Amino acid sequence: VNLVAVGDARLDDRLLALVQATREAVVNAAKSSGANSVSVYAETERDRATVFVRDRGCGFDPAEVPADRHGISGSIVGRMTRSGGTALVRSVPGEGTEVELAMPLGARRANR
Amino acid sequence: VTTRLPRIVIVDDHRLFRSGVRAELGEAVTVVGEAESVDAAVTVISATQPDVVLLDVHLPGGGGRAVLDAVAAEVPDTKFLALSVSDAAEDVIGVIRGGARGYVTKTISGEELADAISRVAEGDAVFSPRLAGFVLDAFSAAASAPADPELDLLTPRERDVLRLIARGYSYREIGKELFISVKTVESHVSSVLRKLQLSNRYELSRWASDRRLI
Repeated sequence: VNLVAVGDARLDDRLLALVQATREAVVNAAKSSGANSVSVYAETERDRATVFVRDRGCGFDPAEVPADRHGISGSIVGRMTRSGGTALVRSVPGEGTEVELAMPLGARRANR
Repeated sequence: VTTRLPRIVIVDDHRLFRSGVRAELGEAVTVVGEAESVDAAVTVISATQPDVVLLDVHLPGGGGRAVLDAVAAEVPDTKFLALSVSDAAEDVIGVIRGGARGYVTKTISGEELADAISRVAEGDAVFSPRLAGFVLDAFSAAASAPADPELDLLTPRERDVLRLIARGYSYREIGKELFISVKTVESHVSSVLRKLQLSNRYELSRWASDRRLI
């Protein structure tokens, strides 16, 4: 796993959710992609934190994931949306997968 | 465009690493010399005048920066590509400001290294994901007002390209993502390299030395 981090922020429970979702995405990539390495890029800006988890593995067709597979939707997307963030999965069979996680920072009450 | 193989010198203090690099690169390059220290590197580089020097950042006798300072001016046609396990920002920024055309980490695959060498031989710049992250951090928009906007700020497009490099994208993939040609990606990276080498911004050195303390 190659990690590149830009910027810094104080860890709160929303960032913790982002970190946990990142962990899920990395474990997912390591277990399912078949790729030799996983790239993780994390950037914190003034008003948001973003993480990209990317592998050049087998990829999958998001349209063909059976409804009973909760791996990505439950642990990653669910975790992010419950905390006010977003998760986006882009995957192309044969080319790999990238998970984009974004979490707003600051002004906690604003989005309640 | 020449199809001649790049002539390279490998500078690293571990023999096992040098022979590993040789084996990995195989037919992609002609290795014309090796060196295990700063003094030996200076001698072999001036004698062979290679196209590209693979330069370890950490070397007995002063490090990769000392090699650049001693010999780079003597061999203007030779390009330097820094290769390191080090993640210390100060070392990385040091060799780049000393004149290296690129920086890659030792986790790179043989194929990617061969690609990086030919890119550097042709005069382009090569940034590892980590170097791209360093540059984004050091040139962060939050830093104080630049003394020279031409050199001290990255354009939005340059930041886009660096972000994608940091995310592990190849130049070809970046071109596709941003709807620009690989040549344009290369010119953005070269422009960032120039800024990194010439910018006098105070934050750059302060930022790098701050990172060393952590």
